[in-house]
Amino acid sequence: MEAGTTTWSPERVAALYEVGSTWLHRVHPLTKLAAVLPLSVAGFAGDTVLVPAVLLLVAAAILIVTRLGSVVLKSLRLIAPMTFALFVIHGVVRPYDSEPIARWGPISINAEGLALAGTTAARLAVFVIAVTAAMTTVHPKVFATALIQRGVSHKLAYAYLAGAELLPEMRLRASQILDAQQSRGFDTKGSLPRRFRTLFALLKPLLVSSLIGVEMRTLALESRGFARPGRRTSAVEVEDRGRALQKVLLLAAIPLVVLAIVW
Amino acid sequence: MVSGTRPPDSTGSETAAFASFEDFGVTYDTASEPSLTGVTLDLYRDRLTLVTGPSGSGKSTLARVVAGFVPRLLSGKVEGSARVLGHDVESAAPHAIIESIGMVFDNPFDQLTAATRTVFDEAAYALENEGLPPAEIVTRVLGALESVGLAEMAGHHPRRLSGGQSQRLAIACALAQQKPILVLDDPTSQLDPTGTAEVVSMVRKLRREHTTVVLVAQDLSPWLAIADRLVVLDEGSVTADGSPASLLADPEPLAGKVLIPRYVAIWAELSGRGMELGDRAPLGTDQLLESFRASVGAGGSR
Repeated sequence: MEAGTTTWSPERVAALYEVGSTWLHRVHPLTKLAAVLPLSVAGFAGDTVLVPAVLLLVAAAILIVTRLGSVVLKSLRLIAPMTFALFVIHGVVRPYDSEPIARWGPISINAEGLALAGTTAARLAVFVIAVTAAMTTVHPKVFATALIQRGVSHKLAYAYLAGAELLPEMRLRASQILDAQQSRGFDTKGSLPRRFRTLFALLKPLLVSSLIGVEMRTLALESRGFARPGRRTSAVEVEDRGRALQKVLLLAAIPLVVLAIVW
Repeated sequence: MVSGTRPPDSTGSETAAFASFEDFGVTYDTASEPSLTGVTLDLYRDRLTLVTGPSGSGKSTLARVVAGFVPRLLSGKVEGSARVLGHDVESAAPHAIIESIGMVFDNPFDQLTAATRTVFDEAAYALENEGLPPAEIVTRVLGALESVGLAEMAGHHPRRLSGGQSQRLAIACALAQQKPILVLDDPTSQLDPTGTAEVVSMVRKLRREHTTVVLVAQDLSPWLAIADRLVVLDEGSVTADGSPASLLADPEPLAGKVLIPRYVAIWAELSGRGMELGDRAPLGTDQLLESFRASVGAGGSR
């Protein structure tokens, strides 16, 4: 079976993963993970926006040409708010000694701040695009299986998988509570103060039901051998390959870290 | 019921006890009052034992003792003795009981692992933890999903399932593990009528296949027709134990402890008014109608 896909046609549910058969889907999950490290570190080489910008452009071009343009779009959605915040903080809010390039009343824009914001945003973007590319092209179950095969604790793998499901799980629980409250006549729409009241009315039952759910889930997991000692297997077969390349990628991060520090 | 005696069931045949309680009691570490006290009871293989009682009567605690969770995982002070599958519940090795008994909880969603993306993966989770070969996992999981009618949904996200489907998935997880005994803790309490019908039909099928079932339920209506035995708990003690038809033949003493199904209440009322509806309480609306028709046909009203 090809790494990165499962036989059971899993649906996409509020997660990065996309079913596909691109070159990146075929790369071993841990090779993708190993590649994230040197790529991200390389973005920090040199005190300039040039290196991360070139890395970003090259990565985006490769992804678009190889029909993985959705990775670029997803990364942009993730990066956009961070970039905006960085430009506001460094370009407008933070004071600098140098003369501003523009000024409107109390607001001034500083070139030094804009450069710093751009460099930081580009560095973050390299990391985000690398992680997004990896997560879009590897099914979480395949990733967890690959980790367990290499000796990572199945409990850690569970934490990763459960973490990926946490947000949609909480959203579902909250919507069930809201439905129940609305069916009892609680008005959840309207003015801002009313919406705040709704939020507080939601928080307590959400917290309580989550805590109760934790006890039941613990027992259910025990019933399914979660704490059982011994070897684990997986219904999803992931071919154990690419060890040498993974080592090279991880080792490549070392000189890049040195370069990032000294350059 | 006294330990070791023959189980009062519809067939009258004798089977081995898989769980024996002798003057058993348990008080959770977090509670001041005992949840169970002085329970003496045998539970038999190849039976559906229905456990009922008011809220706080100890039903769920009894289920959790049988499933091996109490006192190993949910700790408490134990009195008397309880043995499940030959293991003393207090001194059994961790998971000795848990691994042999399937448990289905009342909440259809919280009992799922929350770490899987497909119904198939959910049912495969326990088998992966057992370290079974992938081919065997696939065979067992598909077989279990087939038997609960969820094979078509193997690729769906578990969160997309209805309450009834989720309960059937929880049962499939236990079936895939080939657990011979199932403990169902009020599995329909949070389901709509459609979901309830799905689960009842599933349990009926399991009983035809001779799966041993211990079922906790507050609403007896859907279950009486397939139950071999009814155990009533109140304030942590067994207050009634016998075949459903014989116990409900005189529902008066059970009032307040058991939600008497409407068909039993109607039967008792009509019998009290002199209608000849037989000595055994009906175990479903069909049986009540049958008795009623027979009585009317025979000119049964005195």
